Amino acid sequence: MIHRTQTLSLRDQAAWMRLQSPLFVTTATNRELRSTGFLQPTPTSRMYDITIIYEAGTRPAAYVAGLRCRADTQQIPHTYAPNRPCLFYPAGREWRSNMTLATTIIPWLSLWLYYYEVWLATGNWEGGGIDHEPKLEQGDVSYS
Amino acid sequence: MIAPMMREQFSYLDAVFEQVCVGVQLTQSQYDDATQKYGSIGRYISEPTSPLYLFAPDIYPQGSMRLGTTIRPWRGEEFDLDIVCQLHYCDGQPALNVYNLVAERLRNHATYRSILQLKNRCLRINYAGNFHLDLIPACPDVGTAIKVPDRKLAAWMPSNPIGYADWFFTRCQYRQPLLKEAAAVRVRPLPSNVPSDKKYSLQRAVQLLKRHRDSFFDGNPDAARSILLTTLAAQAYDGQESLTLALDGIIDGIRRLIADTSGIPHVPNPTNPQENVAAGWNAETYPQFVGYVHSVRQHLDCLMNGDGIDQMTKALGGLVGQPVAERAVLAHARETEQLRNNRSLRVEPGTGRLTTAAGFVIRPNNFYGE
Repeated sequence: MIHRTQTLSLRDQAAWMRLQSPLFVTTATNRELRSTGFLQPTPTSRMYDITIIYEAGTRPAAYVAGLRCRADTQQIPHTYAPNRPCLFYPAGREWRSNMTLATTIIPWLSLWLYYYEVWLATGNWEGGGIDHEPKLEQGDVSYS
Repeated sequence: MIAPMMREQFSYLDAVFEQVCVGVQLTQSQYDDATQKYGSIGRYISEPTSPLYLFAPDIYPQGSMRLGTTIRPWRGEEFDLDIVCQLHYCDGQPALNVYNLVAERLRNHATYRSILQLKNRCLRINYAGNFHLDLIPACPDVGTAIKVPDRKLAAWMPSNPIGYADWFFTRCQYRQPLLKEAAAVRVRPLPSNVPSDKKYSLQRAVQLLKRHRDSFFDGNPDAARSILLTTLAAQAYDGQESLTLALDGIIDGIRRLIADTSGIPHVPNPTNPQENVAAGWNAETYPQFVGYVHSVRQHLDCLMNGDGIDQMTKALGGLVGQPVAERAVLAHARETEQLRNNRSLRVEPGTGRLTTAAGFVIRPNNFYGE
């Protein structure tokens, strides 16, 4: 069965973003959407400086300034780069281009930031996820 | 009156504090064990073949078990359960007679005989496994008040554990009472090992204060007694629903008492004003108590200004011990993960805060990458 998804144009995405996440500053051209703002997953958490970049024809990327690593390891779990969390499983159709950023990327990022702080505090990643290493059959989910 | 914003400010901290309380209270097996031993001794004392049967003994818990403020014993220390064995129709009996009557009954039991220890105001049964039960013989006085024998003085001393608990639960204020008096039952059941999240903020605050007392004094015999901490906390408590704000208010109330008193304060027992529950304070022990209060305040300041869950966890570790603090943060994370899996977890549109109230439900996702 083929899912028909009506891709939202970047300008439409920007309009939704301004409506649904009014505290973010969002600009868009035909080729790129850029949205910046702050997220704080719990009242006890730090305030994180966020940049979301969404280029036409790609998947949205979220960048977080000032992430730190634990002293006992080299890498923050579930990241593409030290400032770029992996929020969704690309092959899993979790993100689709008809979805709005404020109901997907932002909640996932907030959740990620929460588990990141718990990880900083305890060394345990409690948020589940899928490893990059494709040891598993496609579609299998590992909760480590 | 605290603005809702203020309350919201500590919602995460409150949730983690609750997990701490679950982490430091008796385990279910410790509780079941205590209940079983309590039941056995109660039945043995009040069964029809017991000489005490004529005195219609009434067996009930007192102290932290009655108040729902027990915590696990600090390393190496024993868990104790205080139970009152209240006889009736003992007017005019000398105090020592009543004490000896109860002692005699226990000596006639094959097991109790060998693990019985006669203390000044109670009969202690020392079980294997760091647990003892203190049985306090008593006779009725006026109202809920009782009198208990003091062996050294060979005299009756006043006490009022039921009145004290009634006062404590009045101070707890909010929500429904949890402990119901089972009036018809002679051997009253122990209050159940209520999950911490079903407790009043004041009960939890007392548990946390006791836990920091244990870690601060670390076996030092000058540590403030539980009844003193409980009385001070209940007096200073101002009905805060948030546990963080309850602790904050309580500790400031105690600091005011310290600041406003020249010399060493008296803390009258609310059910017996002649009794000073702070009788143990002297030139040596009182300054240590003041140090303990400052320590709670300092840790609480760090917690309330917590900049990140990791910083908060460190500060919490200072208050209740690092392993307990980390376990509480993880327990909360696992609950959050369950909410997420049930699709009950949401995100507040403006701030991005996780919430179970209004907001965008978090769609299923899998964090990717190593």
